[in-house]
Amino acid sequence: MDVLGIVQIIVELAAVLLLVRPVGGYLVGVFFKERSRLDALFGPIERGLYWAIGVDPSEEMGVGRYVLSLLLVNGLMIVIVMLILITQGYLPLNPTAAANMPIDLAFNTAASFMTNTNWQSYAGETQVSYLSQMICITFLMFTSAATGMAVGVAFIRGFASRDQRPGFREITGIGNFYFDFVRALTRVLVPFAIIVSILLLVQGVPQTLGGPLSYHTVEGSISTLYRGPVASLESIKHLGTNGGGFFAQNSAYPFENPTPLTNVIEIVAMLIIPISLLYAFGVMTGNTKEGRILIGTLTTIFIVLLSIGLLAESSNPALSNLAVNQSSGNLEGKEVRFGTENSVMFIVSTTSTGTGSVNSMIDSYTAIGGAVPLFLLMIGSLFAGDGSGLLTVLMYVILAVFIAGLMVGRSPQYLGRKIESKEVKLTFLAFLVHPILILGFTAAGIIFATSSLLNPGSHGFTEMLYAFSSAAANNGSAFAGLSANTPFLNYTLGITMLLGRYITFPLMLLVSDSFLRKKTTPYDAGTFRTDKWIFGLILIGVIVILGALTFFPVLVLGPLGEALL
Amino acid sequence: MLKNDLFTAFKTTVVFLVLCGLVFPLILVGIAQIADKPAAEGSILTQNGTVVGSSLVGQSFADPMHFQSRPSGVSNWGPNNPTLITNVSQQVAYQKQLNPSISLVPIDLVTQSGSGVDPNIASGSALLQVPRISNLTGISQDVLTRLVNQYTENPVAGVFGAPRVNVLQLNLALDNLLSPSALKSAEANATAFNAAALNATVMNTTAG
Repeated sequence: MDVLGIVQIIVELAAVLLLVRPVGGYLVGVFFKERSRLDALFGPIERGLYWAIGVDPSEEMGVGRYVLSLLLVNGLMIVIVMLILITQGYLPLNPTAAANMPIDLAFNTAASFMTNTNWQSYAGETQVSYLSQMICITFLMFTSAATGMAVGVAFIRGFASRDQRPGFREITGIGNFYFDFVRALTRVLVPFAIIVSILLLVQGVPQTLGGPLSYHTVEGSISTLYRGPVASLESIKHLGTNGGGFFAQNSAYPFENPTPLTNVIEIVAMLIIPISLLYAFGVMTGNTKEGRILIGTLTTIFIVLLSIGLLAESSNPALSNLAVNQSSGNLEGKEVRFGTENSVMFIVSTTSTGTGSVNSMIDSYTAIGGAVPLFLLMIGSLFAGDGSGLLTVLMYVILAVFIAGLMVGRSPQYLGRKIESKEVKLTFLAFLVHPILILGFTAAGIIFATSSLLNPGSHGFTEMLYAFSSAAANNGSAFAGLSANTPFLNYTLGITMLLGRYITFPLMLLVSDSFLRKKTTPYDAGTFRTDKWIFGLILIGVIVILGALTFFPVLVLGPLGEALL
Repeated sequence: MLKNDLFTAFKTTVVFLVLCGLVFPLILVGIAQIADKPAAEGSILTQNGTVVGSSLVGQSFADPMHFQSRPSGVSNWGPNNPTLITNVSQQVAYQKQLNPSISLVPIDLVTQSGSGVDPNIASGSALLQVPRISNLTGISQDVLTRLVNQYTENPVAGVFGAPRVNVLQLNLALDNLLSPSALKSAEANATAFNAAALNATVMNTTAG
């Protein structure tokens, strides 16, 4: 194992954890405080936007209208993006001469980017025009992340402290979708994306409307250099936990991720918002320790899985009989400028969040090296997507509190509110959505779409299992040997992404709304405290045991079988 | 009520499609063109006025007088796929023909990358090619070693990224060291060498 690689990983993790507090505090200010110094800058822009859209941002919506507004906005965006994609051949800004997309591919793409999944059945450099890269892909990267953040913010309101704190807005309900959605864009995603885009530009990521260049290589063969407005897509791709590449080879392609520094920038950008929102959650409960325990617990799982991945990728045992020096690790499918350590770090980060961009080809990872990201997807991606990740984390927290309550024989309580039958039922329903989608559709895929598999045996099975795990978790990374651009897979994966997101959202918002209406009771000696590290241990147990019990059989058929045979 | 909500959603879509999908990327195109036009256009390398590629995107070099880059393309083969193992063993045999002095071939020279166009190899993987290139070009090993060291990119701030060379830039510098007539004779040497190496590989494969 390369010491330098490990040092890089430690520096990256430290950078993220140092940024969490200031960014988390900033997010609290954006969504929950009465006024801020930045109102002078953003206030007029936001008032203009509310006027243009025609909404009153101070109106309390309630869960019903909040979810309805969200579904209408997202639904319309899917329809309009589909229309653009199936007609892009007729539209301007198309120097690559990309053809109109077939309807199954357009459906898959629109669903994929609206749900923050960014699964790609197309190759960006040849199948999408520059106009579509901008007004379909980049546009949905912003709005899907803003939708996720809006839901996350609304969700926090149910769990927020009831004490009226000076400077904070009064919480009267779940909030207003347009207020949350617009502020996520104006004060977080757009300004952050401008900063990250410029950092990437400086490192050499292209940003041009110039078309592809045909040229002769040094040794005289003819080649084409594809380029385009890459930096503006690449920044929001990571900040928004999106993950879809401008190029088919995603962040492995040098134009998306040209240097070791851009790799660091992309890793930090994808981790920062989901983790900072957990910190903001803690602040809003009135006890920052509630957030810090969650961040610490999930980071522990992250580090353990990262270590397993690093060990697994330190060599490919199947090549050990050849005269190959594997001291730099299993480099098949990996780039020299990142090396094995920063490839594994990127893959674990991308599957610990809802991102799904890749800087190396997971299909060529060793069996256990590939099982790490797969397991992360199955447990819902730890920190998960911007905003939507809070729902996943709190789902596990509620289950952990419930199970701990059963063990000590007291009625379970979280943040001073009793967890009752209604919340437990809704949470379990939300939990069950992903296993049903993953296991059901993988079975269907194995029956109807075996011709899409590239690799034989267990590894081929894992390609299919990974695809539906990625779609259900709204992640978007892939075992890319799978030929996903078939009508069957385009429709089934598209449906999996939609159900994986839009069933979970209302269920967990109902849980939050129910918490909002509960009386709070003060802690007593018998209360099981969630702001103690012992709770972190129970949470790890619940996440690992539920994940393992649900998915152990398919993991045996896939990566574990491959590792053992 | 629903009709109103739908209209609001429609206006939201249009407003943000324009702002996030057009205004944002186009402003960045403007900033990029002013701040660093060559990088914004794709870091294009030209020689004598003609484009020979991008410094960021790797090329494959078949000519043995050039430093070899990683095998091009992306495989997506699983770790135990027999095709992967066959491909790697063929690459190992080829590298040993090219560079008979090495016993173990570094893994970057025999595996495909994630992008298919990896611009780099480890600096060690470039150094081991020096004796061959010296034989074929007549440039001394010292000069070539210095060239490799000159083109070695060291970790940024001593931490980020392993020591590596950009194979395209290294080969362009190598070509520049050769006068046109020297280049010609080197190429003739290389062709003869290549034919011999190919023969040897074929014989090896039949023997194996």
